[in-house]
This record gives sequence, C-alpha cells and structure tokens, in this order.
Amino acid sequence: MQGFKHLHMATRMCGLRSIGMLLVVCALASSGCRPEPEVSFELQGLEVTPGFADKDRLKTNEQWVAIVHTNLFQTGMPANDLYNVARVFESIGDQSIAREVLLSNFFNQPDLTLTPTDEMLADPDAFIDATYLRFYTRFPTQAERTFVREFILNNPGMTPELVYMSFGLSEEYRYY
Amino acid sequence: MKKTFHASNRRAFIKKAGLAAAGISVAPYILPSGRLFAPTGMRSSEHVVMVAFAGGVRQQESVLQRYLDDSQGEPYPGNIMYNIFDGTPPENKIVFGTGTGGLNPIPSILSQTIESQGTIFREISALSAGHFGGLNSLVQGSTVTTQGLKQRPINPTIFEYLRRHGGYSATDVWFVGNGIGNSTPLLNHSAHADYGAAYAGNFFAPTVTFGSSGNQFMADAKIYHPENELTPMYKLKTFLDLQFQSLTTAGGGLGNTEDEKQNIKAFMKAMYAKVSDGTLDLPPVTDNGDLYTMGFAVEVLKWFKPAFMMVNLSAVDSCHSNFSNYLAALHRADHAVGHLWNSIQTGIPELSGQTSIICTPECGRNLQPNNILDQNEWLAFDHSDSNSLRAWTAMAGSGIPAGLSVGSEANPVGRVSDSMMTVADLLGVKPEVQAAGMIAPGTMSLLDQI
Repeated sequence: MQGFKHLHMATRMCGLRSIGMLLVVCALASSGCRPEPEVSFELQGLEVTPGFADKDRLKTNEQWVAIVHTNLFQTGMPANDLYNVARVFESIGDQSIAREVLLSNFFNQPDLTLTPTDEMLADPDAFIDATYLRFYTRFPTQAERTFVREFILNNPGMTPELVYMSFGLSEEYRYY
Repeated sequence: MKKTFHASNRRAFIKKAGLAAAGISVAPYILPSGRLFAPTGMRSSEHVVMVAFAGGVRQQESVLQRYLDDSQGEPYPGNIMYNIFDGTPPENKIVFGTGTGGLNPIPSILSQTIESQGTIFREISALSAGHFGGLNSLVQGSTVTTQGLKQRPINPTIFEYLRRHGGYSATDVWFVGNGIGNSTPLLNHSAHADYGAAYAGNFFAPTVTFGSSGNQFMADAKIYHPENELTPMYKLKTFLDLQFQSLTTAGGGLGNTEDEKQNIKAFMKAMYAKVSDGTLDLPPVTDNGDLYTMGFAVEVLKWFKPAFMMVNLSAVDSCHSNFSNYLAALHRADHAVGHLWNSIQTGIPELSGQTSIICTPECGRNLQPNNILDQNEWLAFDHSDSNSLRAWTAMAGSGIPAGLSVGSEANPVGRVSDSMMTVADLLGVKPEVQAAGMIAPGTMSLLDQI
C-alpha cells in the first residue's frame, strides 16, 4: 500500500513537471511573436548622414565631373564625353579655373533645369537642406543653415545657380 | 600651492627664450610681393622665353647643318633651320618644305638669325637621352634617377624658384605644353615640400584646351557679373570652404589670385572666340601641332606679358619612324621660333627690346639609324646612345651678347641644365637657386661660361 502511494505521488509529480514545461514553452513562444514595443524618448527623429569629417579622399577629375554632371542634370555623362573633359582638365594648369569654366558652361546648357529663385526664397530652409544633400550628401549643421539662409535672403543677387556654383566649386565637394 | 622653480627649469627656460629670440632675429620677412626675402641676383632681362626644342634633335641636321650628309649617306649638306642658324640651305633633295613631297622650303621669317643676334653654344651635354628626363633637366636644372613618368619633378622647377625667390606672380610664369602626353602637364611644378603647387607656373596645352574637346565643354562658359554675381558666389564658397577646412587639410592650388583667375578665364574666352573666328596669331605656315602650340604661346605673351614663359615643341620625335617627317618638323620648329621672336620684336611693344630667348633641345638622337625606311627610303633614328647626349643652345636678346659662338664638336661647353640656370640668372634669382643646392653638379649660367 505504501509502495503504491509512492508510485502515485511520483506519477503526479511527473505530470505537474510536464505541464510546467509546457507552460514555459508557451510563454516563450507567445512572447516571441509579440510586436516590438515602440519606445519614444520624445526626441525629434533625425536622418543620419555622413559628416564632412569623414571626407578625406580627393575625387579624381573624372569623378568630380561625373558627379557634378549627375547632380546638376540628374543623369550621367556619356563615357566618351567624360574622357574628353578629363583630357581638357589635364591641359589646364589651374584646375580650379577648369572646374569653374566647366560649371559655368553647364549652367549655359538649355537642358539644365534649376530651382526657380522665388521657390528658393519662399522656403529657404528646404532649399538649403536639399542643396546640402545634393552636393554634400549630408544635412547642414544649424550654424550652416542659419548662415546660408541669411546670406541668401540678404543678397538679392543670389540665385539657385550661384548657390550651386558655390557648392560645386567648394573644397568639400572635391572630397568624398 | 607654492610653485618651486628649479635650476634645471630655469636653464630650460633661458635656453628656449634664447632660441626664440634667435629665431625671431633670423626669421624671414614677408615682403609685400609675398616672397620671403628680396632676390639677391641682378635682373638683366624683363622677360625670358625658353623653347624646349623640339623632341630629340640630332646635332648633325641642326647646328652642324649636314642635312642628308651624316644620316643617309647622300652628299647633300645644308641648313634647314635658317631662322636660328646662319648658313645656306640645301639645294638638292628638298623634302622638308610645303606642298607635295615638301618641295617648297618655308621662307625665313627673321631678317637676322638668332645666331647673328645672340650667342650659340655649339656643343653642350644633355643630362638624359629621353624626353621626360631631358625636359626635367630643363625645368629643374637637374635630373634625378628616381624621377619617373607620371611623377611630378622631385626638385623645384624654374617656375617655383622664380615665384618663391623672385616674387613673380602666378600669371608671370607660364608653361605652354605641346600636349598632355608624356606627363608634360606635370612639369609646371615639383612635389618638393618647400616649393610645390603654391609656386607653380600656369600651364596650358593649348592644342587640347582650345581644340575640339575644349571647345565642346569650355567655350560656352557664362560670363558672370564680377560684383553682382561672382562676389556673392565666392563669399558663399569661402564660407563653405572655411567650414570644411576647420576639420580637414584641404587646399592647394597654383596661387592665382582671384583677379588672375578672372584674367585667365577672360583669356580662355578670347581664345575660343579667336579659334572660332580664325584670328589667332599663328605662324605663316601651320601644318603641324608645334606651329599651333607656338601660335597660342604668342597669344599668352600678348595677353599676360609674363616674365618667363617656357614652350615645349615635340614634333621632331617623328624621327623614330620617319626621317623625312623629322626634317620637315625640324624645319617647322625653326619656323615656329622665327614666328615667336618676330612677334616679340614687332607685335608686342611691351616685350620688344626687353626680352631674351633661349632655345635648347631636351636631348639629342642616335648616331646610327634603326632599320625603318620612310617614303624616300631614308632610315629613321631613335635616341639612346652617346649621340643622344649631344645638344646645343641658341640665345639672343636682352642681356645676351651678340655674335658669339662658344664651344665646338671637339670642345663641348655647357649642359642642358644650364639653360634653367641662365633663366634664373637673367631674371635675378641665380644666387637663390644656387643656395637651394638642388641642381645638377656643375650646372651654371651659360652667361658665366662665355
């Protein structure tokens, strides 16, 4: 009788252990399927782009021409043209002059469409952000945004073309 | 807390203070021109033009005037460079002129040869039997055995010496190249840490810059209003650059001022217009690249009136495979020099009577031919043997004695690198170049060897 009692207790304990295990597995499975809670620290969302401190490699003439053409015309330059422009760059000692002349040549092309000046003046911050992204692949710092905004608003002669010219000829644009 | 001042600290302080005082006393003064010290040499010419003549020239067909006599075994001597050298042209087997077969020699431009107006060094030594080494010896006054193609000169160039020590501006020194091959565009400044791009000469390879590609991509450039458009554009660019430079070491450039840059852009615009209108000041005959290069070189002189301009000609290198074409190119290189010197004397009043010219081949060419025959069954010549180390220099103009002939085949005097030192001498920076100590041993001004 005593032996039977022990056997019965052992069987009950085994059953309880199995149920416990089953509950644990269910709990784990159910928690794994639960969606990730959205945690908010009440900070403004920010898109992260590379900063200018990382730009330490000088673009080759071909890279600079190809990128500026794409930035302005939103289309790549044909390989043959790229080769010929690079040759012309080699033939001019002062490369800054070569870049400036080429850019001003681009701005004279009829198929180049630029942001209208009144659009730039209507929302300078949006224009500045878009220009920094287009040329520098980064957002401006607050100080940069403030300076450029004030500069654009206080210089009536500034057009998107001249702003693009400044960015295209800048030192940062020569690096990646 | 009481600060103790040990004897060792005091000694260190006194030592540092002494060094600082000594440093201040010998520190260079920045002169208004931007140079560190006033040049100590005496300038004897206002302008100097140097012609790198013209892609490997044999003594035999140039200064020795042997035409076919010493090359093809045909007994027809004669002078085919009669703008530079005194001497009668060949009378037979004429192939170097214009027209079918080159039968019509190009008439001389100069009424008096460079030789009769100046000094000829008849036999000088080249430092290199190759073009790039030879050109490097012309611009650096030395050759460095580790100097390779696609590499900036290791030692400073004459452009840098002039700008750093003579205070010449960037548009005061020019290098007009025959093209962009053979690393020619790299010769306008060295990679030397104490000189470099900031002291470079301005450079154009005009047959490329103003050729079809240049015309396609550069000729339609906009002209912006200098105050209403360019000034704010540059202001914004300066702001952007300052932001970037605060964290990087970006910079460099040839040191053209903004005014100089605008002037160069205006020159480019004018050249595209002249090419389009056909109003370039070209030599009377313009049937090869060297003659176009010289036409643009004259335009550079007219526009900028530089203190120093070097122009590189190279068409005679056709001698590797075609001796007849080599003779024609040699004749045209002489024609180009005639046009240059004539333009200086008669077409540019600011340069007339105040300019010196120096013509030196960067290297010679072999004594024995290779086995390539041309259309006249004449053999071609490469450049690698001792005959390739023979050259000459012709110079004339301001500061150059007239009617002198120095050296001979049996008595070589001078070397190719001396041309660079002669430029330094004429423009007043010879002592500084010598003191820098980076020229080939024995290199000296040709004026000191007369």
